[in-house]
Amino acid sequence: MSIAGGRQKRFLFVDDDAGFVTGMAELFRELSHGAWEVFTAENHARALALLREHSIDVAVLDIGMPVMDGLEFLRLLRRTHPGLQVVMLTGLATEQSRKASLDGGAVLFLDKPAAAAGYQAIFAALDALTDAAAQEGFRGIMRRVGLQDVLQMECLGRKSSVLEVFTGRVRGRIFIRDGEIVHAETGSVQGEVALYSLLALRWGEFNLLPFTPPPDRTINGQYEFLLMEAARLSDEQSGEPPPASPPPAAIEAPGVPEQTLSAEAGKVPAASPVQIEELVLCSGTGEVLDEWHCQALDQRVQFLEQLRQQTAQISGLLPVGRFDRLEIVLPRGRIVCDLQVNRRVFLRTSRSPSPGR
Amino acid sequence: MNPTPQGFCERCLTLPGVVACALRSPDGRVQQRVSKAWFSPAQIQQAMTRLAVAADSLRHQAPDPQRICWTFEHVQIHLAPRADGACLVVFLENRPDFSAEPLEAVFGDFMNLQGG
Repeated sequence: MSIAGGRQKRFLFVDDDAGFVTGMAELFRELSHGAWEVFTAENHARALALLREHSIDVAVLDIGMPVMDGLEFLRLLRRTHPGLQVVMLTGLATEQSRKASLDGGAVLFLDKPAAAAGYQAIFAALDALTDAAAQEGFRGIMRRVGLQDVLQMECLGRKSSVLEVFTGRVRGRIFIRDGEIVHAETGSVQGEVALYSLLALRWGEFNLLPFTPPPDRTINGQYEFLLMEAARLSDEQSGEPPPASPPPAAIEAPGVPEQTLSAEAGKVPAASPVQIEELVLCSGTGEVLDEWHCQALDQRVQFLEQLRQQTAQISGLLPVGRFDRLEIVLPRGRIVCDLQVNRRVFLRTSRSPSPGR
Repeated sequence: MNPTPQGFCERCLTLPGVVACALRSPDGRVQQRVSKAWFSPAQIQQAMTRLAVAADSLRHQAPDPQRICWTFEHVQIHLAPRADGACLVVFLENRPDFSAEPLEAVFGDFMNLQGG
C-alpha cells in the first residue's frame, strides 16, 4: 500500500475542527498499518507550510472553513500545487458544492461519514486514489511550454511514453519509444503529417501517459530532424496569409501549410534541406549531458554560461521577464540556444539554399 | 523610406507589438524611440551597451550573424548587426499575435544602408 518506489503515502487533512481531524488522522494511520504518513492542519497557513515541507500525495479539504473556504483553497492549490491531488470532504454536501469541487479540479468529493464503517470506505477510496496516481503517469499544468519542449525532454531522456494532445477541436497522440518518435495520429491522419500538425498547435493541453504500443510505426526519422522540420514548417507558414477555408484540423494550427494538414495519411512533405550540424545538451548548471558532432565542446559550454550571465544582466536591467532562448540567423543556417532551469541546449543547423526562397 | 536613424526607429514603432527601438551608429551614438512606458530611455541606452557586447561575443560562435533574437518571457529583442559596427535593435512584445515578420523589411533596408 505504499507509493511506487516504496515510501509511505503522504496525506494532508485540512479541517478547522481540530478534534475531528486529529481523530481521523489516528484512525487512518491505524488502518494503513504504517503505509500512510498523515499530516493535519487546522488552517490554510499551516497546510501551505506542510505542503512546502513535504511531498504530499493527496490533500483532503473540508469545505466549511473560516476565512477561506475549502473551494477557494482548492482553487488556490490548483495554481500553487498543480500536481497535487485534492479531495473534498464535507459534512454538508450539496449538488452545487459537489459540482463546484469537481469543476475546480478536485478528484473526489466525499461525504463525512456518520458511522465508523464509513471511514473505512473513505480510507479505501483514498488509498486506491494514490495507487491510481502512481500508475497512470503525470498530471499537471505547465505554462509557457511548447510541445516541442516536452517531446525533446522525452527523447533526450530516451523514454517511452504517449503524449496526448488536445484542444477544443483537435485531439491527437504522439508515441515515443526509447527516445524515438515512432507514431503520431490526429483524426484520420497519421505519421509525420499528424506530428507536424500537432506540433503546430499554438495552445492546448497535454497529458504524458505511460507507453502503449501504437497500431503501426509510421515515423522513422531522427527526433531532432523531425522537430526542426516542424519548426521550419511553422516558420514558413507564419509569413503567409491564412487559407480562405482551412480544413478542420487547421483551425487551431495556423502554422502548418494547408496541404500538409489535409494530406493523406502517410504522405510526407518533401525532404527538408535543414540539417543538424551540432548539438550540445547540458544540465541546468552546465555539466555536459550529451553532445553530437561538437568539435569545440568547451567553447560551447562556456558560451552557454556566458549567455546565461548576459541575459541575466538584461533581465535585471529591463522588465523583460525570464530568458528563454537565443536564435542567431546565419547566411546558411542558424544557431538556437535554449536556457532553462534544468537544461541548456546549443543547436546548430545548416540549410542548403532552396530555389525560390 | 527615411534612411536616418530616427527614420528607422519611427518606422519600426508603427509595426504591431514593437515597444521600443534603438539604432547604434558606427561611431557608437545611440538613437532610440520608445512607444510604451515599458522602458525608460536610460534603460534602453544601458541595454544597447549590453546587447552590443553580447552581439560581439557571439561572433566567436557564429561568424557573420544576420539576425540575433533573444526571447524573454515578455519581450523579444531583435538585433540586426551591420559589418560597419552599426546595429538596429527592436524590442517586440512577446505575444503569439505579434510576429517578427514585418520587421524584416526594415532590417533589410537597414542592412542595405551600409556605411550610412
